[in-house]
Formats: sequence, structure tokens, C-alpha cells
Amino acid sequence: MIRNFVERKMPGGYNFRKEFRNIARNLSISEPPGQFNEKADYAKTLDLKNNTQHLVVNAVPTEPFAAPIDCLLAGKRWRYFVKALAGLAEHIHDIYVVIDESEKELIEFIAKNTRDCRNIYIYPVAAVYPQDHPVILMRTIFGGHIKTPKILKGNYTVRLFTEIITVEQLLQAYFRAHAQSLGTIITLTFWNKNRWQQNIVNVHDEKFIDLLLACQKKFSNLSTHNCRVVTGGVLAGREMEMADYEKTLAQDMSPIVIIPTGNTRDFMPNFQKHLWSFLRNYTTTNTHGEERPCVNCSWCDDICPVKLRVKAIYESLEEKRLKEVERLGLFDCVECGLCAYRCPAKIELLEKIKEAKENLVKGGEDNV
Amino acid sequence: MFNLLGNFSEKTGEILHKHKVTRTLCFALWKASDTLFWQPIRVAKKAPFIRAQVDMKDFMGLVIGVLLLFSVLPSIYLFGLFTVLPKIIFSFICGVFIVDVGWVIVTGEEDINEGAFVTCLFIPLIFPPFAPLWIIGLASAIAILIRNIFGGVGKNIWNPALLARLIITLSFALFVSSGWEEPFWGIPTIDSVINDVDTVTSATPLFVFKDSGQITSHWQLLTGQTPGCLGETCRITLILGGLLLCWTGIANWRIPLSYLGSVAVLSAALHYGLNMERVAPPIFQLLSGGLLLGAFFMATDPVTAPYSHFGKWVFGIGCGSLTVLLRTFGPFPEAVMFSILTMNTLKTPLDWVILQLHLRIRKPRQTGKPRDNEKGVAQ
Repeated sequence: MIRNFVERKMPGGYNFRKEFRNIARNLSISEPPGQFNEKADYAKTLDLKNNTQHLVVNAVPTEPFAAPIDCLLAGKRWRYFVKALAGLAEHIHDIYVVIDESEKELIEFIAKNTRDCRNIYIYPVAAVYPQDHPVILMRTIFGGHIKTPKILKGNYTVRLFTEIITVEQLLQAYFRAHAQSLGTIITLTFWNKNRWQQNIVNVHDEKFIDLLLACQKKFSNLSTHNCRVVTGGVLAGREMEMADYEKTLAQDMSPIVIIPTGNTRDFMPNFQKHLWSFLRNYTTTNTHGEERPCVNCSWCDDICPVKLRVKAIYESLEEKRLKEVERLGLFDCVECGLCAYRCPAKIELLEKIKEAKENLVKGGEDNV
Repeated sequence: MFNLLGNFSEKTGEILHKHKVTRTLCFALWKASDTLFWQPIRVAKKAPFIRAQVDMKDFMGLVIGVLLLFSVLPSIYLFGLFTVLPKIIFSFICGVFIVDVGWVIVTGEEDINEGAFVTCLFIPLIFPPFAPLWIIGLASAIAILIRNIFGGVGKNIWNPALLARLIITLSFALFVSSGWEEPFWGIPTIDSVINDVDTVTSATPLFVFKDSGQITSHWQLLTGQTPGCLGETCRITLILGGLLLCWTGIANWRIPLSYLGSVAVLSAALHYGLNMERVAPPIFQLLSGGLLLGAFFMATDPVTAPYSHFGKWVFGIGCGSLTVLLRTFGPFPEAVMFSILTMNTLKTPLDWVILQLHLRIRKPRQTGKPRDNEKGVAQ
């Protein structure tokens, strides 16, 4: 019986693993060298606020092509991760580890090795995106109450007392404290011979162009022709510009995905996909349909992880009722992009929401 | 070969779009057929950079496919190809090719929305087999015209097919409330499938019950051996088709469940609980008339149904209660159309009330708008 194991299901979101289950991985992470000084106090190397009392460690992939946890913790890294958690537990009031429920071995391993630390709690969740956003993680841990967790008293915002870090950040801090370099873990995914090829690499001050050339040497099919390079995730990221190619790779650039543009005028692609889906994968930057009027299907409401009335917000935006939109919870939107992903009418919901937020903020500044 | 055809189609579209006359007259039709067969080249310019495969063509196409397979095909077996097919073709000609294309030409729009095809397929299925062709054409023309007048797809308050049916019922009652045909039943032959069956007129089960209290056999009701509208008689296939739509998510399961559930519960309470003989028993209620067609295919129309989950439950219960009460105490034997249209009318106020309740219950973020140098998502 695992003591610090908490069951929590996060509603909303979309399990992209089912859609991208044919991802092949090419592990190229090198093992960390040398011995560790176990007594090094690495907690101070983490950029935590002084009054942080609760720490959330997110171990769930954040985007459809993000590095899976078992790749991040390959080799001996599992043990280092657990030691890092135990080290932090001496400084932090409570630590919550949110982890994909399918990683049963890792969950057992962490639970067993942290059973002496009574303030570490493990939350297995269904890997629906975007799990990494603070609002989503808070709901996962503290239930439906997004703003003020039950265990906190007084009128404080969650941010003052809680910090969110990812597994990569935790490992990097741990390695830094032991005078070792973990490097930056970057995921580069591209379409290779009828399947997605995901490469997880450990880089040390390399630029994206170096990584691209190195991968092109290894995989002759890797090409950016008729493709778009997206950094930071395909849902909430941005398209890479030419200037980014010369920048040093940083953690927030991962995952990098080279997506086919999908403008080849495929014949009845959905028909083909449904019947012969093993032949083609139609994940492209194509919208896969023309923009149509909203038909009230409420799929956007169903998938929204913060339970907004997206349809009502969209209607209010179309009718330019900005005050009403604010009341509907526009600023609660975490801009995950799931509503726009799911919409069958191909309405650019995310863009409209972002634009409305900017207009409202600008309108507020103008009125000051 | 498909790539060559696709390139040819693209070039044709460019030529049609260039000249004003062809753009006005033909571009919308070309675009509808082109995007049916070939992927449009529109790409996501900003996040999210991937989009779900299901688009409006899939959404409406699935409804059309299910209707064809689970309603039209059985009706061809029961009533004959020459009874069913001319009505469907004429409905499409009047609704889509005359009214909808004419509307697009007059207003200068470039898109023919897929919703018109669904409406025009529904129209013949909710009329009796003996309904004359001009009635079907008129109904589909009225349905598409009313939908466009309200603002097009997504803007209509009432289900356009049912509204057209109501207008025709009130205006031309003689043509649509008599002459119910006994369907064919037995081993099909080429003659029975293609030609009209021997026309034996009979009353519908609901009319018989209202008149004499006689209950038709459940098996006959399930398998379509009773008179009724073209698409509503073979109820076993309608149930399968409806379940398929619910499973794919196209039809929200809450509506048929609450609709049929409330019919069953209310009729059981009145018939068995209060011993009201004039109220039909629950199984007969569920299997007679157009209830299954209405509950799975018409009440679940997302445009005219509430979009909140709680609203869908209320909508379904309202439809079910009205169906039972109007069937029992109303002047007409069938009441599905009236109950769905009534609840469609209440859809907007229902959505508004539920939204206001939601806003009162939902706690707003403490941080509110982004401040200072924060932009976008408030932290």
C-alpha cells in the first residue's frame, strides 16, 4: 500500500498520446558523469521565493510532442530525481508530484523511496494537456478550488506560497549543486517515413542550427522543406523565425516540432485517414477544413481545462461585448489552445481570446 | 491521377473567382464540391499549429451517412425506391440548388454550408409516403429560406425541418395528415424494392390508440410494419443510428436519454400510477410515432438545443413531458414536432439563465487582469 499516493482525475483536456502513439524515440541522452556529493544543499540553487511553502513538481508531458518522463529519467536519473525530492523535502512544507498515471513503475519507485518523507505527495493523473499550467496543477492538487487552496488560510494568492517546477528544472538544479552539468534536454520531432520520429537530445550551449544539421546527418529524411518549425509546443508555442536558428538552445524552446504544412491538396484525407490510417498520419499545420459558423456543438466547453464557457465568450466577442467577456472569465483562460484545436468549425478561438485580452488590458491602461 | 484532378480543380476555381459573373453564379458551388474531395490549403498561421481532423463536412456528413443507412435504406425496403428517392432528389433540388444557391448568388456569399444538405434530407423523412412531391419541395424551400433569413447556419432558433413541417401541416393539413400507407413486409423482391407497394391505406398506431385505445404490437412497431412517416417507421435501425451518433459525440447523449427517459417515466406515472387509460403505456409511447427519430436526430441538433449540459437535461425533460401531455390531451395524435419546437423557443432563455447561475457560482480569479509588465495570461 503506497501511503502518499493520492488519486485525482483532471477533467477536460485531450489525451494526445492516443493520437500520437506511433512516435518512435531515439534516445541520445548521455549518462551524467562522476560521483555526487550527497550532502550538497541544492535547494538554494532553485529560484524559489523566500516564502515558498508548497512546491509542485510537474512530471507530466506538457504538449503532444514533449519528452516522456521515462526518457527524461532514463538510466540513473530516476535515483537522482528521488534524491532531489528528498533533499527539497527538508526545506519545503509540502511537495506535490504530479505524474502520469500510466507510469506505474516510476510512481511505485518514488513512493517507496520517499516514504520517510511525510510531506511528499504523489498525484497520478490522466495525461491530458496542458497539465503544466499553474492553474491546472492547482486544480489537480487542491480540487475544484483554483484560487485559494483549502489548506491555506487568509486572502493570499496561490502564487505567493506555491511554486511550480518541472522535472528538468529540478534535475538541472541538482546537477548544478553538485558541480555537474546536465545540459539542456531538447526534443526534436519530425515526420519520417510515415511516422513521427522523436529525438531527445542533451545539448550544451549548442544552437538550433547545429542540432538540425546533426540530426540531418543521422536522418537523411529530415527536411524543413514544405514544413514549419514550431518551438515551445504545437499547441501554445510559436513558429521559429530565421533569427532563432542562431540562438543557443534553451529549455523553454523544447519541444521543437517540424510539421508538414499539409498544403498538398490530398484527396479525401479524412476518408483515407479513417479507413487506412496506418498509411498516413494527417497531423499537419493544415486546418483540415474551411472556417464555418459556430454550430453550438459545445466541444470547446467540454475540452476547456478551466471550465470556461468558451462558446459564450466567443459570442460576446463577436458582438463586441467586452465587459461581458471579462465577466465570463476571459482572464481565467490559460491559452492552452485546446478549444481551437477541437473546434470543427475551425474558428480561430485562441487568437480571438488573446486579441480580446490585449484590447481589454490596453483599454484599462488608457483609462488610467 | 487525383493530384492532377486536384490541380485542375484548383485552376478552375481560380478562373471562376477572377470574373465577376462566374464568381457570382458558380464559385460557391465549385467551392462546395472542391472542399468535399480535396483538403483545403488553409494552414494555421498561429497557435495551435495542429487541428483536429473532424470538420463541418465530417460533422454533417456523419449525420447524413447515418440517416441514409439507418433511415432511408429501411424506408426503401418498406415503401419502395420510387416512393423515397424522388422525394429526396426533389427536396435537394428545391432546398439546395434553387433556394440556397439562389440565396448565395443574391447575397454574394462564397460558401454553401453543409447544414442545408442535412435539412433537405430530413424533410422527406418526416412526411407521409403519400405526400405529393410539390409539398416536399415547398417544405424544403421554406426550411432553407427561414434558416437563411435568421442568419444562416448556427443562428436559427427553431429546427428548420420541423418548422417547415409545422407550416405545411397547418397550411395543407389535408395532404399530410391522411393517406398513411401500409409498408411492405416480407422477403424483398426487386419489384417490391423498386416499385411502389400496393397502396393500402391505414391509420397510424397513435391515431388508432387515440381513437379506440388499441395498442399495436411492439414487434411491429420496432420493425416498421406500421404506417408512419417515411423515415420514422423502422425504429430498430433508428435506435442503432442514434446510438452511433451519440457514441461519436455528434449528438449529445444527454438529450435523447432525458427525452426518452421523461417520456417513459411520465407515461408510466400517469398510466400505471394514476390509472389514466387515455395515456398510452410507456413502451408504446417510446416506440410509436416519430419519437425515436425526433429524440435522436432532431432534438439533438446542436444549433437549436442548449449548449450547457444542465440545459440539455432540462431541454430533454421538457420535450418528453410535452410529448406525453400533448399526445394525450392535444388535438393531434402526434406531438413530437410541437414539443421540440416549443423547447427550441425556450432554448435561448434557458441558456441565459444557466449562464447567469454559472457566473454566480464560479469564483473569479483573485489576480484579475494582468498588471504592470504582465501580458496575456494572468498569473
